[in-house]
Amino acid sequence: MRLGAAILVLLMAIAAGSSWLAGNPFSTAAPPLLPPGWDYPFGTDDLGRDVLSGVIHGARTSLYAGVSAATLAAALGLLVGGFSAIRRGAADQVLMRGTDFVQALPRFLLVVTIVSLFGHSFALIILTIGLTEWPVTARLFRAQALTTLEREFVLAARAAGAGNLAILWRHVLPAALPVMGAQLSYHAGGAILIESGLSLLGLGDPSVMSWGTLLGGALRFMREAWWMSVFPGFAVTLTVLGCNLVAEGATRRR
Amino acid sequence: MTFTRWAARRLLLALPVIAGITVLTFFLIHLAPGDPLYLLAGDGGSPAYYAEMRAKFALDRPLPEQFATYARALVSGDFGYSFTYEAPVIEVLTRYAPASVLLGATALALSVFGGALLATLSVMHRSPVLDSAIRAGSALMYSAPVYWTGQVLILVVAVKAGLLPVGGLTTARETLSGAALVIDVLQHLILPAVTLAVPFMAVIARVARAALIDVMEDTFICAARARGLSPRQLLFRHAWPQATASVMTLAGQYAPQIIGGAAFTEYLFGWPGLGNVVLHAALHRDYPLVTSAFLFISIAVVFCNAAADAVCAWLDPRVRLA
Repeated sequence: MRLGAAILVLLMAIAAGSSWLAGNPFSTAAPPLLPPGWDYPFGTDDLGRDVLSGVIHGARTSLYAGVSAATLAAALGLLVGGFSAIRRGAADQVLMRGTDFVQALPRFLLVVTIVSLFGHSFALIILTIGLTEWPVTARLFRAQALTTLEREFVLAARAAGAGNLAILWRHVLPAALPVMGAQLSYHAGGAILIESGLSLLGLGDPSVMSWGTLLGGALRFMREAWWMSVFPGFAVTLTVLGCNLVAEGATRRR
Repeated sequence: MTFTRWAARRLLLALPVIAGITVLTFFLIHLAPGDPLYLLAGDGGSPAYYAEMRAKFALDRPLPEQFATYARALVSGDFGYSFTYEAPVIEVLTRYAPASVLLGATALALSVFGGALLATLSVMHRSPVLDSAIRAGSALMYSAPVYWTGQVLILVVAVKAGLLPVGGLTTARETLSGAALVIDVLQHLILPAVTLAVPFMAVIARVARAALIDVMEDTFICAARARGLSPRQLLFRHAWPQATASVMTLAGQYAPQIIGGAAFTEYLFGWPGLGNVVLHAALHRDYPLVTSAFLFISIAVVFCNAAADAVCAWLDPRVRLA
């Protein structure tokens, strides 16, 4: 948990200071395919771009993708799960079958299909990831809400005249906060994996520097330049590990 | 409920999901910018071809009618024509499916056995060091993206050490047959299968470990221990059969997500499977192939889920009551 949080804080600092820490990641000023050394600690790629600068700027993209997709997914999950739990009956049935359906979709393929039909835009990628990641959150929140709603203090709140929304907000949500925090963190990790993967395949947004773009470029130079693959890949792994560790810590403390 | 009745009901439950996937694909085609004609018929045909296709897909008719036409074509096995592969989509899909199934099944088997082994080791020895090592290792395995573990494996095992081939299904320069061919394919299979198996193995290890610890605290284990069974017998004869169901359910639920990993693995290793076909189609704007492959694979996943549930219900009759 602490290790995960430390990783994420470090990453946020790097992302926040990216334009101050490193120059333009698209600049081709350096000699090409330079191994890691004093001037270029992570080496340079085939076009003479500084890999370190790419990794630093990629942090911003990844965090941005992770946070926004995860927020969208968590919000949708809360909405669907909460509504399901409060309404019960037919609405609950319909929503839960819808949740099953979205969960059964091969998410990555859907994102690839949508990107290829609608164009390679960063916003669209985030939106698709967010719109398909919510089912697990919805299910967890619904389960949590159903047990909380049985408690006496909820009955007391109802007697005091609290409406459904107020009960969800004041009583159910606080109880579910650790689980939801964990979900947010898991979603962020998942979104970062998908965004980087798309960029690796050349299906990402070409105007944004991403760890995936760096990894994709490394593919053709596996024999000549290991540093092009190792550093950005390590960055992705570390970030996702941070997200997963935070998520685990949040649920275990409960 | 008997197993056959249960299985029939489970299959029936899959039908609405399949219908939903078809509707979703249809809407994506119609919501996308541009004329749906090109998304259905592909890029690069002659005017006469497009006129024929416009009539075939009833594009001048109201939407519900278009959907009916689309669904009818799909049911009869007509998934459109792929211009990049110059073949009907269904032919492309069936041509590349076997390699994907081989890779997926091998990876699945590897991850189930590997994960079960890690979980057993972690629970059996009760050594805190080994247990934490396995837990830390599985957190790392779970977090590393397949497209990076794949690159690292290629770099270390294939490029630096030269132990295994870098990619492909067979050695291109030689024409092999019989046992030599099988060995050649197996050599090419090892790295991609391991790559694909790594994250899933970690997930299985953690779930199985949790399930085993849970079962080991049950009263019937206590009773069995009182009867004098050894820890090994307790674990394998009593705890594992109970934990198998949760592992199987997980395997079914995870199937949709393993496909993303399979696509990357196939791409990295040049494996001639469906994942590579989809990515190729997406990069070359072969719309009929992209949408149909999405449909085809999603439906296959729904059946895999049903199959995993069926195995669960067959192993554990209690599932049938739920």
